[in-house]
Amino acid sequence: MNNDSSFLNIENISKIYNQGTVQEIVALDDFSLTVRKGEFVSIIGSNGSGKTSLLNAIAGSIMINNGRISLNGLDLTKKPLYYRAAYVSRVYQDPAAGTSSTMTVEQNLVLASLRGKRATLGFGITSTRRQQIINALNELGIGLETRLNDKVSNLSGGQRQALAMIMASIVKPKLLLLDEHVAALDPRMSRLIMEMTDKLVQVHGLTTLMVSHDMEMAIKHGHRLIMLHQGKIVKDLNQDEKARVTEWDLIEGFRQLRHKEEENNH
Amino acid sequence: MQELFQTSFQQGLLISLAVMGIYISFRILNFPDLTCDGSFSLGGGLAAVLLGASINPYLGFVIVLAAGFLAGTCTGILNSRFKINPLLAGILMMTMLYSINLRIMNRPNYPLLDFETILKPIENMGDYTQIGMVAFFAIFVLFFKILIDLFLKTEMGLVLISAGDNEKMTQGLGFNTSVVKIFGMGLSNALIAASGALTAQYYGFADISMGIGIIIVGIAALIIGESLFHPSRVSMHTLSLIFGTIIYYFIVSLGLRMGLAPTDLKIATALMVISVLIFRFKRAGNE
Repeated sequence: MNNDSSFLNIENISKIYNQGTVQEIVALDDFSLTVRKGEFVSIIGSNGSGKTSLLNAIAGSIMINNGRISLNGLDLTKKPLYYRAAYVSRVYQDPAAGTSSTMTVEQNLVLASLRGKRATLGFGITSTRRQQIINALNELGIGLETRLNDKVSNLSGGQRQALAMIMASIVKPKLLLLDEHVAALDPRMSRLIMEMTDKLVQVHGLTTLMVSHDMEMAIKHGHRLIMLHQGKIVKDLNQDEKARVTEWDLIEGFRQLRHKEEENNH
Repeated sequence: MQELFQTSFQQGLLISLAVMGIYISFRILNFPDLTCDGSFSLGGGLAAVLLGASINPYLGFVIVLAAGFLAGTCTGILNSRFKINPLLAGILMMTMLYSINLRIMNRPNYPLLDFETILKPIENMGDYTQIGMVAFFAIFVLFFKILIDLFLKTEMGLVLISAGDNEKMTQGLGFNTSVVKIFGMGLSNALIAASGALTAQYYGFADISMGIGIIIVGIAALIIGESLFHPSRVSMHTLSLIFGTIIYYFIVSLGLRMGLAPTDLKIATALMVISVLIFRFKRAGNE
């Protein structure tokens, strides 16, 4: 497994909730996945298939029962969330989750530019940092550069999510986790944020895992498509295979899985 | 009337230090911290005992700051490390501080009249004593206000604000929010203990129960300041809470003059807080 091309290594991890009780739920079942550096992986799956548990396990929001997770040779398995955050950044579905509403746009971005560093008693907002922030915002051209001193609570959901995206990437993370990050937005904003995602991933060569409910989007974006079911990978399509697959193929795939499940229950 | 102004300025400035502490826990960290009742008395009692032992009043003041900081970090640790509910963590610490304060003071009331307090030089200024007190407290409070304003602009300060506003995001940026919050609670209670120390020296005695209800006074003062000045930046918040506290004491002095019994003060303050909260609730369109 540990060849040169692997960057994110997930080896035989399991996450079991309420272990040993009647409500036992296996969210991740002896799950393994290897991701190359710079790879953009789309992840689909029905509710309860383990998509979010996978991201939680990688980010450190939940601790796994078995297995090992390493990134760029660094073993993260037992590390707390704030430690991993120096390398792993995440954008949530809820725009409010990734930003601080009582602070200004600029203050949020200054905090984000401290990712992986120790906060000091030096002033947070300095002229060099302000210039860096303005440059980063200009590059994307989404109109936030004129709203540096506005409170985030005054931004729209889409603008907040754009801000969360920039905050997740202003210090280049080793791994970017996107957790249905456009699902709560209107179609126009959702398209805009996806364009921004592609641009950021491309320009910085970010290794990215994107969980999505939207199959069309999962096919259209990224280099690889993974389908999860009951905490396991049931389909793993490379770029060529992904280019040929249609939404209907995936829906049919899900239908068959569900069919098999029902047969097993009888 | 002039006397009324003078005393409300003096009392307001004194207590505004504690209100600044309550602002940090209550508003910035979103932590309704009940430790303050204990740490205010701790500040008063410890200052009294140190003065009784003829320790330099300024050195004593620094020791009080450290003791208050320690009390706050204990509450912070109970909450962050051991996941004890914020209210309960504060109540536990406040209860423990009651015993600790009695141990420190060795009696429930400790008179200071003969000691060399921080205020002694001002008390000897004759005609200028009253105005001198106001000026001295104002400088004292402004010093801490500016210090807090500056701190909240530093990288650490920004992390403190964001940890209170969105803990998950702050962790997601790689900051250990437990440590940050514990430090913030320490800072808050250091200011509250400092306020207690000055108050004891102002009135000429420390009392085991001097801190009871300080949280409600603090919230009332915060609310008055916010309602009148609608601050948005941190420096405006800290300024408005100073005026809020002075106005609170002006209202209280006026009430006492008009025949309000001192024993009814706490219920009057609590009712004032409740009415403002109900007013805000209704105005927010919840009915």
